[in-house]
Amino acid sequence: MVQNKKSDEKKSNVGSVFKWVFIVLFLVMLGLVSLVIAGVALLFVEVDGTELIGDANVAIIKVHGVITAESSSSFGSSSGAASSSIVKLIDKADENPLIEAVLFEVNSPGGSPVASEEISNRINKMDKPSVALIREVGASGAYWVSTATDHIVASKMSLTGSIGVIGSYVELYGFLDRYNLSYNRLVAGKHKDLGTPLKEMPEDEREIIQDVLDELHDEFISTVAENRNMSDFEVRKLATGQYYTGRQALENGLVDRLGGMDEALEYIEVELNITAKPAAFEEPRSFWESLAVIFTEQSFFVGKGIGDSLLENKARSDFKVSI
Amino acid sequence: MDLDLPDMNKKVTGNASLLRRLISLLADLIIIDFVIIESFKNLFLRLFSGAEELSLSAYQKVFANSPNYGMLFFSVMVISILAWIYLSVLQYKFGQTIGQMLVRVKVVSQTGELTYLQAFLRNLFIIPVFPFMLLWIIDPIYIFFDKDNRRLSELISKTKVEQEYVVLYGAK
Repeated sequence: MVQNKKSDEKKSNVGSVFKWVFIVLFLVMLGLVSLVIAGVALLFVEVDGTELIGDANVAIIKVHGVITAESSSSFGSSSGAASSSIVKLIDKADENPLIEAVLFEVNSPGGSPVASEEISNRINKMDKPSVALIREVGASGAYWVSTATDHIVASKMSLTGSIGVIGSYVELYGFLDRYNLSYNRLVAGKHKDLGTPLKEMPEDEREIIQDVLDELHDEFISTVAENRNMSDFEVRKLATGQYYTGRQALENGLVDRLGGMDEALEYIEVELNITAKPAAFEEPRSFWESLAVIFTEQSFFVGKGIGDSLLENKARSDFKVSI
Repeated sequence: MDLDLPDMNKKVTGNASLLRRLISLLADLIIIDFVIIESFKNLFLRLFSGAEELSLSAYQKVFANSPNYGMLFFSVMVISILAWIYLSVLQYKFGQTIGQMLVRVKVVSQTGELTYLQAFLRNLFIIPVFPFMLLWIIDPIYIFFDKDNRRLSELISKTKVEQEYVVLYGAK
């Protein structure tokens, strides 16, 4: 009887140990599941800049890279400034009651005239004050976009202007000829293969293309003149297609002020009499884009760390000036 | 004269006291906070970023955009479902959650062995969607009208919470 009692006690102890092991494992599992779900959710929230503005009152919209009509993506990451995305972000900033002004951070060599015009037109329709901050480059189409804002701030080292239109291409007909290849021209419509690099460009086709470029150039000039309150004549003088440094652009009236983010925000603060609190407005990334960013950044910093440690001794002896 | 009588104390089970039930619920909520909600705190801080306290303006910020509201709703649903699993699995497996173990109360089925369905059914109140949200009001009120002190969800799931009472028969 005593033995039975001992055996029962032993069984009860084993049961109690099993019970607590189960409970601990169960709680750990619940904790891990929560952690994973919250982590993944945070990943998506973090990249969705337009939704997480906190107490910010100034939206920062980036115009980085070549301006295109639609975004192109490869290996899960998209690059360039797609007008379709930027217009959507402007819509969100304009509709958001907490946002009082929009700052466009421009770092782009330009791109499609149509895409530049789409962004520019949307900025013109905005109800809220806007500022363009030209960082390294704000040229051509990117300058077109910048002129649509109320105020342009540029770094004195930046490159801006480039008010011109380019349609150059490499002609390949000589190369084909050299390798005894010929262009078999089959068209219905005299100028259907206008601008093909596979044949020598006849003079009449050159004139057609030049007319198109001139028309776009005129449009560019008149838009800049209108947006900047300058005369067509003044802009035409500057619209040689050349780049201007920030300082030259200021002297020529193409920008309003030299400086960076602080100066751009200062303009907003003075204009609206508020304390500017900026927040980046970005398109939400897809899951794969987020992963690509994580891996790219990790690889970059791992590589940078290795590179820095390798170059540490060399850097001590090499004096370099970079811009 | 001292009589060496055998121990006549007898343990019987009866309806758990409301105080014990309340304490066990609070203890379980603390555990749920540590194990589940803690992981979501960074997410909530980000959703309410810029607001030191949950003022009206902070709510305005969260609800200014519908995707933001969507993320908040998603997180609350995940937390509730995990809490639902915590309560139901432990009650099915051991008849008790950790909070209930602390105050020594136990969930029993009125139809025999407690089943998973019964365990999940009796804890549906924790899911914050209609119609389960109605249980937040109906459940505690119903306790006062039921002879076994059951919540409405307990009535539906045919379960009740019991505790052991010691009845003294003839002890010294």
